[in-house]
Amino acid sequence: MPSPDRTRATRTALVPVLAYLLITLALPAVNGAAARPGFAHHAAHVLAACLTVLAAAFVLDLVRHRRSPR
Amino acid sequence: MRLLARAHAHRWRLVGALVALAVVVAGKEYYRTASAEDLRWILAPTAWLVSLVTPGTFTWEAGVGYADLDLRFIIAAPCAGLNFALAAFLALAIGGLRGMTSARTTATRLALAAAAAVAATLVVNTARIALAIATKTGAIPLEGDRDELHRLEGIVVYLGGLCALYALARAVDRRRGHAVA
Repeated sequence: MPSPDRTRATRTALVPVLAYLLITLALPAVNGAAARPGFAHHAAHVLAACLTVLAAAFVLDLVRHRRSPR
Repeated sequence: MRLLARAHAHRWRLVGALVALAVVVAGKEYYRTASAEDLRWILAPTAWLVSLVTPGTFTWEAGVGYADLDLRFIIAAPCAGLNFALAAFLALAIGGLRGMTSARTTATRLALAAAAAVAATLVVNTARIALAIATKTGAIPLEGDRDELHRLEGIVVYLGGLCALYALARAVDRRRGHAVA
């Protein structure tokens, strides 16, 4: 069973990233913003930023795990 | 008996999550149609803080928001940071779900999440606007399309601020002995 600390940074990043995606993309899309010009461009930037944050958190977990004594 | 207590706690967590979602949906709807006058409760302290940390002096312009004509910069309704406030409230409420085990703890956690979200919005939004002013005045030399830069600044500052706020809330909760995620 992997220790929950192994994924702490990723789990910590996941909640705010999902909340941000819901507010900035999902709810506007439900309200019809997806059809507006520029939304796809904005969404691409938001998604790229979110993936970057999650990737950074994942790498941080990996580094921490490798450094921790087994 | 223990099962009953657990079911009771789960019920309050569900209530907490539903209330948080309802607040977010209602808040989004409010922000969609809100004028600068409607948002003056958050624009005013934001303009005051921005005036403190930048060379700007922002004054109220009816129907527009807070403006500094010398800087040619307006803190208008879309700059209120309400999207950040809603995302912060939602993240903090979700992070606090484990502590929602009764009506009192659920109400307390939601109120704390709302207060922390508003306070964080003032800080993070001030930082974002100060950065935008610095970019516009050339204090921070950045090349490129101004609208695109403004958009990227918004995404980076808001998302970074949100992650930092959530990590801070988790650390505080852990220190107080409540697991939150």
